[in-house]
Amino acid sequence: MPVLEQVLRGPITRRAASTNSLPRALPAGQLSLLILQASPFCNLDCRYCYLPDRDDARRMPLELLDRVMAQVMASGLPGPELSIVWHAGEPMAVPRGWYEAAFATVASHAARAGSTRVTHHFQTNAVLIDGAWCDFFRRHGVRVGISVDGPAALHNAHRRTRDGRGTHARVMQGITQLQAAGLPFQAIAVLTRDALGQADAVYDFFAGLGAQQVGFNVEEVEAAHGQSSLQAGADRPDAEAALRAFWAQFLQRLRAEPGRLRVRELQAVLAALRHPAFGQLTGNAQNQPGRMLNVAFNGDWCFWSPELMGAHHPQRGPVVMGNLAQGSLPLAAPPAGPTVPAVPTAAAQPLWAAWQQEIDAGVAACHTGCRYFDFCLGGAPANKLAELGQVGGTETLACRLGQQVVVDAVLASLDGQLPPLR
Amino acid sequence: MTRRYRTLLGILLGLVGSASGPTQAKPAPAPAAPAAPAIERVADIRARLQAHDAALRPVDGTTPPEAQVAQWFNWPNWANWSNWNNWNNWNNWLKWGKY
Repeated sequence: MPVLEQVLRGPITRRAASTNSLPRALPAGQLSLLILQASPFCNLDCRYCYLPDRDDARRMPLELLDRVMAQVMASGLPGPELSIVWHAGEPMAVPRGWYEAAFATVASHAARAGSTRVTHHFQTNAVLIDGAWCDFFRRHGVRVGISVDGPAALHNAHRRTRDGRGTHARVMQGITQLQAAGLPFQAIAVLTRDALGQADAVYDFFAGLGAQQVGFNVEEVEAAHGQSSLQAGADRPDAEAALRAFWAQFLQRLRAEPGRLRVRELQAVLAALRHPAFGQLTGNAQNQPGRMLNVAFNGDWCFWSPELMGAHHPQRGPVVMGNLAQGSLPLAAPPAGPTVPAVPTAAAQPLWAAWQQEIDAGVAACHTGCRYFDFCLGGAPANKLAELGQVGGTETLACRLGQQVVVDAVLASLDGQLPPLR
Repeated sequence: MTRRYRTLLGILLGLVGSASGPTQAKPAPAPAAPAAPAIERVADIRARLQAHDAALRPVDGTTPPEAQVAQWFNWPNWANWSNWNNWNNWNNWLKWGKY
């Protein structure tokens, strides 16, 4: 993960706070990202997709959404800004009418709570965007992210319909609709092995796309996607060297045209370096409790990486901390913690806290052993579970390819460009 | 033989020697120590980036347009120098955004 970016937000948690002897209390006011799965269904069948149930067209009942939002707002978890991301399935495969009702439900709970401003986000494959959807986006101030992998040949090799047809032309039509409506958008691309030798083509495509920013995810081993093209095979090493070459060339192009393209991964490294508490942070939103909340269409929930929804732990079982159709969300500890004890004993420990202990052990090991810790802050439990079979492990392929390679490229470029200190 | 003639003879012999046969191969230069990975110099690089930022920082806390794009690593135009959270909150979603 692209863990780099989201690690940087939220209140500063300084180092040396975290060991694993006691479970933590849930922090108040730190939830900033709520992932809601309107439906697990997706109208496409991308080769690298990690979602296990993308044939399942069931929808979150609006009554359940009402209950979820009531609990979220009453939990003390949300901070002043809450981004609701409709994801973990193709959000636009659910009718607009459902969202009209859903957004009204969200708005009513946010208004009642009063202290949290909600922004809606769609991460979409774009093939269903039309004028009516653009009107909906505008009316509700929805921030739109488009999944597109670059030039047609690269994109169509992986992002396909169920009957194997490439979707690039339809994605570009969707983008044209957004642009005609004057709506800004961002782009997210997956770097597969075949993209790595095409840095110039990928750069040219995104530099000309008109997106506010592009984010690159390396193709990860995750959940339902058990093999990545970036892994080593019998006849080839893993893609680290090729990825280093890709970023080196990409940075060359950026240097030549500063300001033309904003790249999430590069901005994230810069932001980390500029963070006032660089070197003192202890974790990120994907490995700390109460900063991201993921709710499936049926009410199952967990904290941490959204990709954990639907994943299984070899010993602990499904990554489900409870179900909001029947149970309730844990409450945040009120501010001014000294009077509020952490959950004291294993017997009284909620399920999430037991998982958190394993996650914390991994983050602590990362802190001790990895020189990139100050950039990634302990990585993503989803990658650790998928690659290492536990949420408490340390380095993964995703770490090396998605984090370390980018950090190295940015630092090397800065090292070559910035004058020495006087 | 005076010192002058000895010197001249030495020069001539040297010239003959260098022209008449293969010179002794120079020993290969010792391989340069590989540059330390940039991650090991992160403190220095960070300090240099901060110095670069400080030199551009205007009084009113906003980045002047020309400085936004002068280098690829400059603050983009949506960042406010005086308010870190302005950057942090810029786009919560894309920070995690996946496929």
